Amino acid sequence: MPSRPVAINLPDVIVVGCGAGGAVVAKELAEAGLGVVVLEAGLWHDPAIDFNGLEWDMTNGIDSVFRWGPSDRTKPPWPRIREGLASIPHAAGVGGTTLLSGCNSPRAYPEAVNREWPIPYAELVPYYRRVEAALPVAVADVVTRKDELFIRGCEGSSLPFVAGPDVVGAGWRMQPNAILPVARVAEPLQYPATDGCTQCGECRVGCRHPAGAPLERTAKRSTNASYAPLATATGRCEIRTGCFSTSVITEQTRDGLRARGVRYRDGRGHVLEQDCRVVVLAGGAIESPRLWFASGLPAVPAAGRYLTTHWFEYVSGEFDRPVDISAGQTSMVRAEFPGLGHVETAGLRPLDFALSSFAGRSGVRGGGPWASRGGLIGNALKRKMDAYERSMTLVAGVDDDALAHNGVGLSSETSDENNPAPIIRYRPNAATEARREVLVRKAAEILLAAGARPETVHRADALPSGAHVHGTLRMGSDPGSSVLDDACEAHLVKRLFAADTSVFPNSLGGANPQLTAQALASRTAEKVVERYFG
Amino acid sequence: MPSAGETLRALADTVVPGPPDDPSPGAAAIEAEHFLVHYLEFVEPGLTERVCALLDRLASDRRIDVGFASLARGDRESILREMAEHDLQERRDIASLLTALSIAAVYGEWSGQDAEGNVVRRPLGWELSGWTGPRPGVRSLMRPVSD
Ligand SMILES: Cc1cc2nc3c(=O)[nH]c(=O)nc-3n(C[C@H](O)[C@H](O)[C@H](O)COP(=O)(O)OP(=O)(O)OC[C@H]3O[C@@H](n4cnc5c(N)ncnc54)[C@H](O)[C@@H]3O)c2cc1C
Repeated sequence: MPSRPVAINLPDVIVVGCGAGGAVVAKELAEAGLGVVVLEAGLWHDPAIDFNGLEWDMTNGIDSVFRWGPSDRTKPPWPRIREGLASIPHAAGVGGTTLLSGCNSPRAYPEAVNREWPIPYAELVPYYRRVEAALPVAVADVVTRKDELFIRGCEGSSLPFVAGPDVVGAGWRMQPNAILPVARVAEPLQYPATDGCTQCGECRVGCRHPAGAPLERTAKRSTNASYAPLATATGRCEIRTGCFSTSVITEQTRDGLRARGVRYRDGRGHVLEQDCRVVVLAGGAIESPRLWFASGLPAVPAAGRYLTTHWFEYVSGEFDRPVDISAGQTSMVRAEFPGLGHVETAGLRPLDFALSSFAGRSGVRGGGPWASRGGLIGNALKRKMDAYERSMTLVAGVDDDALAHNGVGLSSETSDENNPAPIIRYRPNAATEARREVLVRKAAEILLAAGARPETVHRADALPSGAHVHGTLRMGSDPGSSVLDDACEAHLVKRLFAADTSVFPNSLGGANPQLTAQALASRTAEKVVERYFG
Repeated sequence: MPSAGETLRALADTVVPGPPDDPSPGAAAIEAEHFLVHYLEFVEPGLTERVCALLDRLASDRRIDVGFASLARGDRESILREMAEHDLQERRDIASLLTALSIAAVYGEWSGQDAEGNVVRRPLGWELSGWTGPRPGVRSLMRPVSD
């Protein structure tokens, strides 16, 4: 990978990171005629060779294919110091964390954007449309049993159907997924006879189906298979893999500080410098602020702050008949609760099911329509796992408040070969906790109305995790409370932009972040061209 | 004091028990302690020894001169829970790492893999949970030949 490598020696733009946002901004800039170099810390995997569909091997945080760490899997992962977060499952590699993601791709809740963003929701809509068409994003026409049960549960708890994509009221709807349309049954179950999603259930362990498909026709539209190939196909974008950016190079000019290049360490450990006219940070909401600090960029008050995570909760229950929750796309239906967050189905394999559904210990108290809660080990865990094939788990993602005390800083004690390690702190406030309680209750009610046996409904009590991270270099009009302006260019460092989830001023109201990061990245590409290459 | 292997065997058995405490096979049946040692050492060389020393110390706080491996199941469970709720993040992290590794040894693919990582037999956790393993697609959930 890639099939058509190009070398760009004097790039107009360097993009740091090729995940959800980085691949989009790179493709748009290259299509606009600019020379683009993407520096990506990880590899560009070949799904047919590198993905094996095994949960531990693909996704564990220690030595898996998708861990956050050096490409050489015999070396330890890159350290991250967590305070208040149970885990941070991010992937290095072309595709970034979209490699792990379910690619559920809803838009943000309009109310949340209009509440706190420097641009109105309406301004995002054309960019949403553009990305939805390019990926593409669609709802599936054949749903799994877990999703049928979820619909039954929503209807049974009097939740109306709501039409997307711009959601203003509570209700359920089909999940918009960045996954190719469901394929027709064909023999053999192989490309080209089979073209599209085979509902194999491997979204979260790396999509490699249909078997034999070229990268661009693997079903899930993680950016390794969608935007990154589109970017290199322009002939104006080079993706340098195994290249870890260690600092943004700046210079002082009459107009103030401006970015002029990037220092990075390549796969052989050589430290190199690359000049350019514009730098776009897209390393994600932990690595982008880490790079900001490691580069000695201005210590503006909002830098590294206002981290949000959707503080997920998992509610599970057992049914009388098989559910087969590992089949099909991760989630094909969702319930929207603007002002609170969302609830969706979660297609889980046994290990993920055990770890997410029963490994809680948040310490939050309070009763609800669940029979048990918290971490389960021993015989209780084994009985839950005996019922795996008859069980279903729902995930609730809360609209958590963006708070100044939550965020990313640099450790003075721990580092890796690249930079000081990031310290990530997250402590939700009482308002977030209260919203989460209402949302989790709704999830349990849906599960019960779907037919889950009441005595089996279990609430995980999950600690916050870093699967969804946003904020830390937020955009805004006030340099006192934001790092970037409304074009996602740094207030105090000209020619430095960001195009990942770090730019979000809030948690989108609890909606899954990928599509919004991509829509905004597509808008940011336009702003880069307008401001510096027009 | 017992060996690290025994201590981690008892630990994994606390998380995923087998006979006589549970009717179906658990972590001990697949010698999950090897998986734990491998990953603890991978995370940080010497961590196995530190973790086992900690578990034994917490055990002897309960019953003088008794190692973790000799404690009754209930006591082992309470030690793990106390670690998981400890004020120190480091202690909580160790508890969650030990629990996750024990669960992963059983419910992940490891117990079915050969030395090269190929799945050559059905892993215990797939057997226990009834999961049939990775599949290239689910025909009943694909679109009919013509619609
Ligand atoms: C299990 C799981 C399931 C998820 N499911 C969904 C879902 O269904 N829908 C959804 O909307 N979201 C989902 N998410 C979240 C989503 O994947 C992320 O929000 C999204 O990928 C973040 O995009 P990003 O561009 O900010 O960062 P990333 O996608 O993480 O990309 C960052 C990239 O930058 C690279 N990088 C970082 N630092 C450097 C550096 N210094 N030098 C060079 N390269 C660097 C990284 O290697 C990586 O490739 C899920 C996340 C997880 C963990």
